[in-house]
Amino acid sequence: MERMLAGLLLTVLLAQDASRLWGEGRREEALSLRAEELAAQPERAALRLELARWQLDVHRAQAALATLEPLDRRADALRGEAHYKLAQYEAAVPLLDSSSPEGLLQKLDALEALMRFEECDALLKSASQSLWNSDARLWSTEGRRRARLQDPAGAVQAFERALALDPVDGEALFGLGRAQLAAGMREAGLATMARHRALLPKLDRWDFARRAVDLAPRHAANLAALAEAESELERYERAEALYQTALECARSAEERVPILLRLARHWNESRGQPERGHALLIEALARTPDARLWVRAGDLALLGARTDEALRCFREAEKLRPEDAAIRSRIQRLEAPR
Amino acid sequence: MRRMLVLLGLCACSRETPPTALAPSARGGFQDITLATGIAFRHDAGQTSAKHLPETMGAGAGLGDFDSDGDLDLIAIQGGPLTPSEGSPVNRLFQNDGRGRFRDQTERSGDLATPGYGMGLAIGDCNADGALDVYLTRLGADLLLFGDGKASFRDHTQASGIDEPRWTTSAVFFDGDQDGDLDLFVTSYVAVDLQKPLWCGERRPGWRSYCHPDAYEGLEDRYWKNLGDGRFVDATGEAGFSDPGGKGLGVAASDLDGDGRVDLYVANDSTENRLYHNLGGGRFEDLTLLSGTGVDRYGRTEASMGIAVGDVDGDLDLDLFVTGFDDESDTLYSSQGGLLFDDTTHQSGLENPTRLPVGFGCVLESLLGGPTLDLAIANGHIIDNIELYHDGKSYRQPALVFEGLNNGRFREAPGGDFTAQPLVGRGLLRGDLDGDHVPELILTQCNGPLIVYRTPAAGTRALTLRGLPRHTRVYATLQQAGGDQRRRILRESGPEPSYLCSGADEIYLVLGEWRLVELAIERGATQRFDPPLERGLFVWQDGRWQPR
Repeated sequence: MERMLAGLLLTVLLAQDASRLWGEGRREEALSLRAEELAAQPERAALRLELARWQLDVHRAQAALATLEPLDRRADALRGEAHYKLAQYEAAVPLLDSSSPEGLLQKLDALEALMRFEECDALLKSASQSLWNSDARLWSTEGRRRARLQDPAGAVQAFERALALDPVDGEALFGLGRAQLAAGMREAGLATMARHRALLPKLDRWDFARRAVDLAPRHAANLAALAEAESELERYERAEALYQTALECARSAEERVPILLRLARHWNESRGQPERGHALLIEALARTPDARLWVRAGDLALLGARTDEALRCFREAEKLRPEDAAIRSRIQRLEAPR
Repeated sequence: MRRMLVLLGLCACSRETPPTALAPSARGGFQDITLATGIAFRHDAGQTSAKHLPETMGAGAGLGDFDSDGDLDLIAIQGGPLTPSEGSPVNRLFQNDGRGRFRDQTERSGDLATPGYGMGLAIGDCNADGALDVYLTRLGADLLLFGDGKASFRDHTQASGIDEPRWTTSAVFFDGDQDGDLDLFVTSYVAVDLQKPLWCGERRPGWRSYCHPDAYEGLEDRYWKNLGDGRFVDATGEAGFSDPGGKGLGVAASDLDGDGRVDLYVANDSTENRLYHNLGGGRFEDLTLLSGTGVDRYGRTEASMGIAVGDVDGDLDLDLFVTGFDDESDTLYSSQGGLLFDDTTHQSGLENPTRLPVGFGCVLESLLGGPTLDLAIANGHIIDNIELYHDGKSYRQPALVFEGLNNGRFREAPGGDFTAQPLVGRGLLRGDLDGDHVPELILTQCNGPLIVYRTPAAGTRALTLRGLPRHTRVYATLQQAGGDQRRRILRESGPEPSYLCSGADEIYLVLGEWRLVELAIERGATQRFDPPLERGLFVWQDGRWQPR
């Protein structure tokens, strides 16, 4: 009995370790540890489901299918997702869970790819009202459906609904432009398409940054890049949360300083609050003395016409980098009129 | 007003196809006939542990009659070390004996064998001396080579005024300003620093990978106007081309709206593709936004690579097919008339089967035995350790072949040898190598052997049309053998674009159960054939089709 309890305790500790490692972004280690646990206790369905979830998150859909093999229908949603990610749409469609937003969208996409448009349309119609009220992607799918049915006016309405929910939904903006052109609204269509063209590089940068975070979710520089991309898309709250996570993940001053500089710039340029950026840097400088941070803090103080504070910051910077000509010149500029 | 020429008594319809080296032993699927052709070429990517992006992008090949003997010869583009030296491997020239047997004549090819890290090529007679010239795109300075019509080339780059030291990819000769000579459009990809290679992927042994193109700065494409005296001038901006930051990999020259002027479509990797409408007089306008061809139906940029142009839905308009990366399908843009296109990939049946592979070279051609355009795609990932990152993906990937249904839809077809082996496919081009008027397929690989395939259409009744000005639309009226049913099909002269390649500058009419009763050239002559034609080579000469 004691041995059984000890074994159980060990399993629980291992499970916690695996989850902790996963949470820390040490994904390979977490996967290995969880696989070891399952080898020891193959009947534990919850661990199996979690391992499969993790495998899907790191693009190991085939491994996930193998992990799920002993399980019953409880595992169907994950199986469906795995088949979907392997572009095995025929297999995915009956398994995907259309009661979840992601499952529904994957199923809609799979049905479209299989040219099973009637089923796709019926499924779209059956989506819950709360999803229609909250998810722009659903309206974009509806817009594409309307366009496919040669109903440009209906498509325009659907894409406009999508944009009301998410103003930087690239698919909706492009779809709207195309639908406007198809509806004979040439000027409006071209203007929308031009807006879409301007948005595209920002969306591409966001997508690239998102993929990088996907690969290394606790990598500070990746998180900061994604934060910057979010900021470009004017999704400021998301950006600020990501900058915060990036700072938490930074393991050294060398990693932390560039993130602080970017976040300070964000407060100034995106939010129009240079004093907030200045306060951030002053607070950080208590822990991370760095000439670059003092200089940026001084620059931000100047933007708020706080000359004395700016001068103090530049002098602090000079202490750390006495030979730096740029710092010297800033000080001289401020001292000159006195 | 169209002239009507009625040509009677042509006997080509009854001519038997002469036996060729590549004659099929029995009708079958796609067959690897590389050995029988005598073409032995292996691309050397010069791969290093530094994972320089160019190592995984090449290379192409081109077909043309370089020795003026009436058949198609082959140039295979070589890579080698990224910093070439005297002993580096060179491009190869294979001369055709007319029956599909080739001899390696590289040693007599002159400056074609100049060492350099090659990517692709354009082929055309740009100095109007009757011999084919070649433009070589490379990592490093491009070369313009003038051919002598005897399969030898001399470097004319410096005298031409072309100075292109950047990383270039696809290129095409076309008459952009309707002045009778061939201008040149060259796509440029990204700026790489070989001295400071980026590190992408995880920092574990064996996990370093090639970087996404987003990690590099894009390079603007260039348009070189032919001055008619052997010199070219950079007229990119003046002509209206502008794509700062574009990452060009493919280019198609085609009269997409049927107005008699050649338009351009550029495939960019992860940036918006571009469609340039030819306004005449050497001026182009960017019609990407209006045309709907810059992004996919989701409004997303794609990693566009290769291009094929053809009428896939039988509505006598030219449609565009573009290959792309994994997790995004290849894309079919169906012409809605003029220069308006719709992304109809979903409706075409191409969405699902092309989502996982990374598509590069592509060909729209009659491959399966009838006059409808079928589709072949060369696939292969760019990341040679992709299996470490995605267990459902692989570096080597089988090619794909689809049967065209002539209504904009396709269905996957058995591909025999063509789809049997996973390959690192890059270029794909078509041309009739053995003189039976049915094109073979040539597939190039990155760091692997070039492969030649006979298609299931071999042995079918077919015609070759040659000698038209480039990018001229031809409408062929076919009549069912032993019946009254007729159909009209559209083809366009000029080399197929694909990826880094230059296909044969010939039109193939693979007839199957049909016979040719009429050929009409856009804004030109219509010529009837009675009795209908079944086989043979026809050359456009003195305003009419002449049998050869």
